[in-house]
Amino acid sequence: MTDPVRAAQAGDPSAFRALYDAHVGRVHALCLRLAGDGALAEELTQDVFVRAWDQLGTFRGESTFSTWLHRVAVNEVMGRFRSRGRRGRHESAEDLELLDPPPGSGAEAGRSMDLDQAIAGLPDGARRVFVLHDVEGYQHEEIAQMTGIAAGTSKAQLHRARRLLRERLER
Amino acid sequence: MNPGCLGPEKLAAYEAGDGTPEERAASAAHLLECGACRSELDWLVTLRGRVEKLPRSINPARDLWGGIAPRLGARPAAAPRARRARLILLAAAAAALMLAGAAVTALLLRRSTTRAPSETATVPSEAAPGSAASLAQIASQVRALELALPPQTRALVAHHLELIDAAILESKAALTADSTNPAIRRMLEARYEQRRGLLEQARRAAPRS
Repeated sequence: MTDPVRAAQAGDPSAFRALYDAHVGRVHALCLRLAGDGALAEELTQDVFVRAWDQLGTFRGESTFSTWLHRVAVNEVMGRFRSRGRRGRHESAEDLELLDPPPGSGAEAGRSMDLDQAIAGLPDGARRVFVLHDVEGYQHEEIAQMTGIAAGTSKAQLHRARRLLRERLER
Repeated sequence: MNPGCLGPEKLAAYEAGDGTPEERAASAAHLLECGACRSELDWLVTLRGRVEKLPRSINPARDLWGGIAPRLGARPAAAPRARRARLILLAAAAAALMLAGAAVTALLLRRSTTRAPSETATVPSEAAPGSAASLAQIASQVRALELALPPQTRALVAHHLELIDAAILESKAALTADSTNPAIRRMLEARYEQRRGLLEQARRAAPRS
């Protein structure tokens, strides 16, 4: 276990600041892609580090700190989305197609975009599954656990995300 | 897509190199004949390549620490799980011993009124509770522990040492009131052992540096 981690576990905020500096870019990238919104991503990034501080005592050095923090981040962000989802409307595999924005719609229409822009423009469910599966490397069963959807829905969302990205990026 | 075309899952599996040799051969045979599926496969390969080029780190546009630091104060420095479990047991054991000790003291004090004054007892000479030597010894032990223990452990141990020392003083007062009672003397000795045991457990629970 590295010294800043040990010092932060002992309650040293300056050591935790060093960990923040070292890892904020990775955490923010994850939050930004999952949220698809810069302001929300900043809020989530802050929440992730506060959560990490609260849970530092559970880190026992069995993985790297970066891996542990990444999992804390995914759990925190998906937990936030799950609680929002309980208050809002759920997307099922059957109604995914009805919710898709038509090609050429949205603020990004008519101009080329990079992949991150295109990911940000995906519908929430498709974006989160795409980021977790194709970018972060999680399996559908893991995504199902994290997001509270069925593994089959995760597969459908991934296919939908890839199709929408193709429509947007190959125009 | 034609009825015989590869679905998204088969295409993704083929692109990822998954599947049995037979499944892959069947997919490859279909791809040779189907332009639509080849086009889908090309897109998956392209997409994978673009995903791999995505930056893994994107710094926020502003320093977010200002919204984090004020929220950190409330967290107690938590011990790792295994040590925390030992500390919980340690605290529970200490609390149970304290309760048992208090009950025994009360019982012995009630019985002492009927005891003949012929029996004698002395306070153990190792370290008289409340004496300058005892306090110095405890302070030295706690200082040694402080080098190895995280703050929460340190506070817990110090708290229970205070409780045990209070119990020692209580027992000593009981012995002064009934100096002929060997049971109180044994209890006092047991509490010295309890204090040594607490320190020993705390040393074992402390992280190795």
